[in-house]
Amino acid sequence: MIAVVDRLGQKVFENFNYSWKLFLMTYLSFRSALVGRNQGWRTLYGVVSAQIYFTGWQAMPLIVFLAAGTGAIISLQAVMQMTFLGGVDAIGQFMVMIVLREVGPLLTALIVVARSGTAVASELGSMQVNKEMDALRTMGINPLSYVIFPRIVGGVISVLCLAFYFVLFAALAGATVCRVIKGMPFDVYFTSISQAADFGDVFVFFLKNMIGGLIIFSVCCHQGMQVERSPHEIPQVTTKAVVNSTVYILGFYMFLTCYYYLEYVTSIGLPL
Amino acid sequence: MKKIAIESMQFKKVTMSFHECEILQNCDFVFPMNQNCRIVFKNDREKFFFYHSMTQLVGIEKGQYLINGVNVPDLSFEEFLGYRLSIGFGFSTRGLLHNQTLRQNLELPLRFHKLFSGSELKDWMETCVEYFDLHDALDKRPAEVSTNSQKCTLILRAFIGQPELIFLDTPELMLSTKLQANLLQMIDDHRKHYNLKHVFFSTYDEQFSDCLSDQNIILNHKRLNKVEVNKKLRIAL
Repeated sequence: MIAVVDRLGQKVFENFNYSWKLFLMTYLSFRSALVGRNQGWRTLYGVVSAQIYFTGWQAMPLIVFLAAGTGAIISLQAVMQMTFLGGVDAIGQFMVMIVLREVGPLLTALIVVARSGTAVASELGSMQVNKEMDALRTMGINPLSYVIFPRIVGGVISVLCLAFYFVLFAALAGATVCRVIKGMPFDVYFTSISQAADFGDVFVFFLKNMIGGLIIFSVCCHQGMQVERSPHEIPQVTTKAVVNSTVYILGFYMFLTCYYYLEYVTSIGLPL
Repeated sequence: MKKIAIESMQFKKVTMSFHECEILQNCDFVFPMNQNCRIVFKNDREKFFFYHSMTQLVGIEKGQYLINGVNVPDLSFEEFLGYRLSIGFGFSTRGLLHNQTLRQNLELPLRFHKLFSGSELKDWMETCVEYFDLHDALDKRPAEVSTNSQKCTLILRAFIGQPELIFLDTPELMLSTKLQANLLQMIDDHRKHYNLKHVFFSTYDEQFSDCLSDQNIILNHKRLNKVEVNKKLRIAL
């Protein structure tokens, strides 16, 4: 029994240690980029733009396709169930609840982890093996500010934009389904959505995607930097990057949903 | 950030280990300045770790590594930057940024630290590239050029910031006799016209060493020792 508790304690300690290292790396990368004013901002701007291009722009077709499919499926199911139960007009509320609050940020995050998180982890891993990080240091360029910081910033901006487009295209697909199946006019559908969404939803949406992007790119950069000497370590750290960032993302989204929406339910006096 | 002139380098009771293998033990050593010094290692592991310690890529285990009397392992990255800009390091093989062209690799430190303005940078690049005739390969990525061109870029990158002190890890490797002669010419020109004062290099090529070395530093029995070179024997490539 004590051995089980010991192992559990060790795991918890390891996870805290890992989270602390992530936080420290992210903090130091922002500090070195923002405080070390001797560097050329234009050079950093170039790396941030490249990251936004690879993570944001190149993922757009996939996000649009996935968003349209998801929006269509969800609205189709919602319309069918609501026809049985009555209240098809509440479709807006349903879409906001499912897509804006939960599915949009989550699917976007998973797509970014799978596409760009793996790319960043393996790129940084191969940079470590090829001594590119050492080369940067010898040139007086801190990899934390030149490599990590732009990836995190570019990643956060990309996740935010992709999630916005996801919600937009999911809503459009939902509107099309409602129009085709129930003959619901577009203005009724979009009015229903706008009435259902409040400032809190938008705030949580921004928070989820910003922190989500930060988590994904911090974890993936950290894992990439863990490669020491051999190329055989690269696939290992890439796998770990995917697993760890997915776990962290799910944990954070679950925490935020519980904290914000359960708090809301209890604040208006309803029992859980 | 301004470059800091490098006047002296010294080890005080330095112990260095690499993967539990001791390389230096309580070593006291004053590095000879204003010379071309060859450092002789028994193996690549010693060489790798020694250069990485000298350029502050890894820390020493014990003792003090003093530059101008300042113990540099105590300095943060930002505090060491002034010294770092005065130090060039020519990697033996790896170290080029693979997602950038050779030109971008060479220009990166100059642009990042704003060492040259636009037209100055172009002229300076032209001057440097001339030594190894890299014009054709300059706008290609490292994977698209020969290892010979990669090596030339690695060497050029050490010189590009007009440093005072240069560490060159087997600079003659993969270079033809003509390119080796150009490298020697470049070192001479940098000494005469730019800021270069101190050169530390390692090589397995005795002929190349004879052409360049003023003094040998030998790492033996976990200590560094100076050995004078008979300059009369110096030959030209």
